[in-house]
Amino acid sequence: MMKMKKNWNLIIGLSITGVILTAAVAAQFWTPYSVTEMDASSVNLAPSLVHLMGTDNFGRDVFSRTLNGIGITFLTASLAVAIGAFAGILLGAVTGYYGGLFDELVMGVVNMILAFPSILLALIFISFLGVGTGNLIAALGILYIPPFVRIVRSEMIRCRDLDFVRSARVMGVGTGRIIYSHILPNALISILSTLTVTFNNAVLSEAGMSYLGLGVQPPVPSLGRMLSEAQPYLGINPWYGIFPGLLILLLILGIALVNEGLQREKA
Amino acid sequence: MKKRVLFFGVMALLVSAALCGCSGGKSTEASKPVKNSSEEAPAGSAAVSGMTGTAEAAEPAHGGSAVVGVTHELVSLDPHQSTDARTRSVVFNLYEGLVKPDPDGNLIPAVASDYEISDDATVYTFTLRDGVKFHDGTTVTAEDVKYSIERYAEIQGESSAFSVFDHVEIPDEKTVEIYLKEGYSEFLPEITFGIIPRSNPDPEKNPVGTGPFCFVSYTPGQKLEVERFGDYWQEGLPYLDHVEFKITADADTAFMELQAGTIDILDFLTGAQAKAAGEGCQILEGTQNMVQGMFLNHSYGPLSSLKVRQAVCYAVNKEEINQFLYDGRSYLIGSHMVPRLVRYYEPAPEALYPYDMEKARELLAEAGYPDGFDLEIVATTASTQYMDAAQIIADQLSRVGIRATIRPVEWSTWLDEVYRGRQFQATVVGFDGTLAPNYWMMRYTTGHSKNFMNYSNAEYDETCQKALMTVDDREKAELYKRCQMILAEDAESVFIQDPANYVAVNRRLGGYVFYPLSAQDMSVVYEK
Amino acid sequence: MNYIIRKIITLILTLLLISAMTFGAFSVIPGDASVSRLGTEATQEQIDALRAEMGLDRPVTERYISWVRGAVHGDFGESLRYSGTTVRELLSDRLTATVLLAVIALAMMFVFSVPLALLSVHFKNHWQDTLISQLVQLAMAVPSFFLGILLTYFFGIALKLFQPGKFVAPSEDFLGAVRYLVFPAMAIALPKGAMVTRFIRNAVLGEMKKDYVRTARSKGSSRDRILYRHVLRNALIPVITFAAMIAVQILAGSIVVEQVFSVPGVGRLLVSSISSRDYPVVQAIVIYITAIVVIMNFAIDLIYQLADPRVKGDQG
Repeated sequence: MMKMKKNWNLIIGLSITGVILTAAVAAQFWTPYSVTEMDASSVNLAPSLVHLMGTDNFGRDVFSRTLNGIGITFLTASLAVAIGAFAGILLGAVTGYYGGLFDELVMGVVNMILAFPSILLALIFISFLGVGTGNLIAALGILYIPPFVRIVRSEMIRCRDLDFVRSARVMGVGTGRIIYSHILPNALISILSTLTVTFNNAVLSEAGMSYLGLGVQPPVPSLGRMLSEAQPYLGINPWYGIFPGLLILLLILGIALVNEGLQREKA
Repeated sequence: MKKRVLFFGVMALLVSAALCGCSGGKSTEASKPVKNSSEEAPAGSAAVSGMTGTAEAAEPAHGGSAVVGVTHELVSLDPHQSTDARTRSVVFNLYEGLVKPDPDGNLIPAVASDYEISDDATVYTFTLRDGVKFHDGTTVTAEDVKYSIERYAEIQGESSAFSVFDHVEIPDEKTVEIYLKEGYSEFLPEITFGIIPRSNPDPEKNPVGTGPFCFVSYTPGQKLEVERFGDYWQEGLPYLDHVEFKITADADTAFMELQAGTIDILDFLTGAQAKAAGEGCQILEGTQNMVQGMFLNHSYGPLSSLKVRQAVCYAVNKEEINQFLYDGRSYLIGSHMVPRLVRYYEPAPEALYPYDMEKARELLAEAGYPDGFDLEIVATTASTQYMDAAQIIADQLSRVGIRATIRPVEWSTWLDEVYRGRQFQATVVGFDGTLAPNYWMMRYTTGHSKNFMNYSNAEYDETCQKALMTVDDREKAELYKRCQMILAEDAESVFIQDPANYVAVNRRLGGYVFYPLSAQDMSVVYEK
Repeated sequence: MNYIIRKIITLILTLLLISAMTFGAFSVIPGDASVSRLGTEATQEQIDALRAEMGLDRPVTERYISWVRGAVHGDFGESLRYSGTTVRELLSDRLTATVLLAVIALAMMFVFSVPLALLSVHFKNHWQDTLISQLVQLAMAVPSFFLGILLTYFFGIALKLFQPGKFVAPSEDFLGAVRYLVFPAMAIALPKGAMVTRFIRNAVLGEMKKDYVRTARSKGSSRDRILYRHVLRNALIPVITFAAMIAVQILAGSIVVEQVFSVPGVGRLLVSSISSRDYPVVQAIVIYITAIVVIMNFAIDLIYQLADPRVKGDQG
C-alpha cells in the first residue's frame, strides 16, 4: 500500500505565495505611510515600532515601499509571463502540429534566444528601447515566449500521432478543437510548471534590471532599485538593503516550492 | 562505502578551509598609514584650510604622493579638445594658458608675465614670461604660443565662443598680440587653454604642457598618472612627487575606496557620505559652482503662463532639497549665476519666491489651473544628484496639485532630445561654472541656439547685449545683475542651488584649495 | 564532417546577423557618440568634426562592411569614447577580469556541488538527503545580487575581510585579484551551484532507475561499484551539458554581480558603452557573447554525438 504523502511543497509554496500576494495587493490600496512622501527628519532610521522596517535616505518608510514594491514586481512579472505564455502556447501549438520548414525556422530562433542569458538580452532590448516599466514588460514578454513554445510543441509532437487524436481527426473534429480539448490538457502540468519557473526568472530579471537602473523608475518603488539605493548606506543602515532582498527571496522561494509540488503531482 | 563519503567530505572541508585562508588575510598593501601628527585640525573643522589661499605657517615638505578619485571619464588629454568641465579640472595640472585662474576667480598671468588690453578691447597684448619650460625640456617660445592659439581656434570652430578671434601677431620673441574681430571685453577667460609645443605631433597620446605636473601614463577608464615637473616656473611648486588620478565608474565605488584608504581625495560627496567618511579624512566644504535647477520649457502649455511658472517656483521647497541632498550646506540661488563670482552676483532673486504652498495654489487657480496640471520632469540617469532632486521636487509639486512624473534618460539621450531637440516639459540639470558670465546670460536671449527653454523677453535681450558690449567692468556687472533680476521676476525657471561640494581629503594631506570653476589643483597639496 | 561544416556556417551566419542587427539598432536610437562626448558646450561644428573623425557621417551599410572587414582580421576598431584606445585593448583587460571571476565561480561550484549531490544520492530518502534538498531549494531562490550585497555587508563592512570596491587588476597583483574575486564568485556560485547539485542528483538517480542498473544489481554487484562505475559515467553527459549552459551564463558576464562588487568586467563595460553610444565596443562584446553561446552549444552537441553514437546528427 502506497502511503499518500501530503504534497508539502505545494502547500507551503502556495501559502507563502498567497500571503505575499495578499499583502502586495493590499499595499496597492493602503500602506501605513505614503510611498513617496519624504521626511527629512527621519532619514536612515533602523527598524522600530514606528517604522517596522526603518526608513530610507529620504525618510520614506521602507515597510510601505517594500510591500508596494513587491506588488509592482508581481505585476511586472505576471504581465511578462502572460505575454510569453499566450504567444508561446499559440506558436508552440501551431508549429508543433504542422511542423515543416516553418517549424524549423521557429525552433532555430527559439533555441537561439534560449541559449542567451536572459538578463543580457533584456539589457540590450531596454538599452535600445529606452527605460520604463512598459518597455521592460515588453522585452521580458518576448524573451519568455521560447520556453512555452518548446514545451507545447513537444507535447504536440508527442500527441499528434496518437490514436485518440487520429480518431478525432477522422471524425472530423476541427484542428483547433483537437489542440484545445485533447492535446493541451495533457500538457497542463508542464505548462504550469513552466509558468512558475518563468515567473521566477521574470522576478529576478526585473529586480536585476531595476538594480542596474534600467527597470522600474522612481518614484515608483521597485525592490531591485531599493537594493541599489541602499548599497552606499550599508554601513549606516543595513536594514534598508536587507528587507527588500529578503522579500524577493521569499517570493521566489514560494513559487519554487509550488513548482516542486507540481513536479511531484506529475510524477 | 563510508570511505567514499568521508573522502568527499574531507575534500570539501579542505577546499573550503583553503579558500577561507585565502580570503581571510587582511590586505596589507593599503595606502600609507595615517601619520600621527600633532598639528592636525580638530575633527569636524569644515571649510577651514581649503577656502582661501595657501598661506600656511610652516613651509610644507616636498615629496610624497596622492591618489585623487575621479568619478567621470576623461574625454581627452588634448587641452584644446577637452570641452567638459570635469576633464578640464584634471588636466589643469598638466597645462597652463597665457593666464590662469586663481582660487578667487581672478585671472593671473601664467605663461605670460604681463598683459595689456587695448581701450576698445580689440587687441590683447601678452608679454611672455622668462624661463617657462615645457615638460619635454624645451623653452616656450612665441611661436609655440601662436601655434597653440591658432590650433585652438581651428578646433573650436566658427560658431564657438572663440570665433571672435581674428589673428595672432608676433612683433618680437617675447610679445604676442591677439587681434579680435570686434571689441570683446570678456576675452581673457578664453585664453586659459593650454599652451603646447609646436613640435609635438600628437598631443592626445603624448601630452606635453607647462603645468606643475608632467604626464607619465594613462589607462583609459582606470587611471592617469602624473609626476612632479622639476622645471616648473613657479618656485617651490609642486610639493608632491607623484599624483594618480584614479578613475572609478561611479561615485559609490569611489566612496568605498575613500573609506578604504585607496583614494586620498574625493570631491562631490553627498551629505550622507560626508558624515560617513570616517576618521581618516577631513571634510572640506565648498560649492560646486553649478547652477542647478529645474528648467522649464516655455513652449509647454501651462508653463507659458507667468503665473504658472511663479506657482511652480513657490511650490518648490528649496530648503528641503538642500537638507536632503546636501545637509543644508548648499547655497540657494534665485537666478542663473554662481555666488562665488562675487562681482557679478545679484543676491536679490534669492528672496523672491520663498516656499509657500498656499500662494502656489492661488496662482495656479488664477492662471486657470485650479486642479493643477500634468508635468513630466526629465532627469538624466548619469547623475544621482539630478535624479534625487527630481524625485523630491515631484513629491513637493504633488502637494499643490501638479501631477509630476519623472522620465529618466541617459545622458546621450538627454543631450539629443532635451538640449538639442527641446522635446521636454521640465528638466532637472546643472550648468557648470564659468569665468565669463556672458556664456550663461546670452543663452537666454531670444533665438539663441542654446536657448533650449524657448525663453523670450525683449528687455532681457537688450540688457544682455548691452552688458556684452560694455568694456567697463563695473557697468557690465550692473547690467548683468539686472539680467539676473529679469530672469527671476519672469520666473524663467526654478533656480535651486549651487550645490555644496564636500571634498574629503585624507588627513595626511594638506593645502587643498577650492576654485570657482572646475580645477583640481594638485600643485599646492602636500603631505603633512 | 558535413555536420561540422553546417555548424560552422550557422555560427558565421549568426554572428553576421547579430552584428548587423546591433549596427542597425545604433543608427535608430537617439544620440550618438560625438554628442555624448562633447556635452552641452559643443558647437555644431565641433560635433560635425568629431563625427567625421569617428566616421559616423558615412552611411550605415558602408560602415558595417568596413567593420566586418576589420573584424575578420581581429581589428574591432577604436573606441569612440576613449579616443586612441583600440577596442581590443579595452576588452582584453575587462575580459581577464570577467573570465577570472567565471573560473573561480565555476571552481567553487564544482567543489561544492559534486560532493553534495553524491552525498544526497547516497543518503537518498534519509534525513540528510531531505536537509540537503531543502538547503538547495533555499539557495536557488536567493537572487545573486542580493547575496552579493549581503556578502559585501558581512565580509566587507562588518568583518572587514575585504574592501568593497578595491579591486586590483590581475596583471598587477594576481593573488590580490583572486582574493577579491572570491566574494563575487560566491554570490554567483551559490544559487547556480545549488541548481547544479540538484541536477546532478536527479541525473544520477534517474540513471539508477534504469534497467541496466537493476540487472547489474540483481547479479550481485555491490551498490557502490555500480554507482561509481556505470551510473556516473552515463549521468556525466547531461551534467556536462548543464554545466556548460551554466558556464555560458557566467562567462557572458554576470553583469549585476559585477556591478555590486565594482568588478571592471565585460558586463559593466557593455552597460556603460551602450549609454555613451560607443558602438564599436558594444559590437565587439555582442560578438564575443554570441560566439561563446554558439560555440558552447556546438560543443555540447558534439559531446552528445561522441558519447552516444545512437544520437546521430545529420550524417553525410
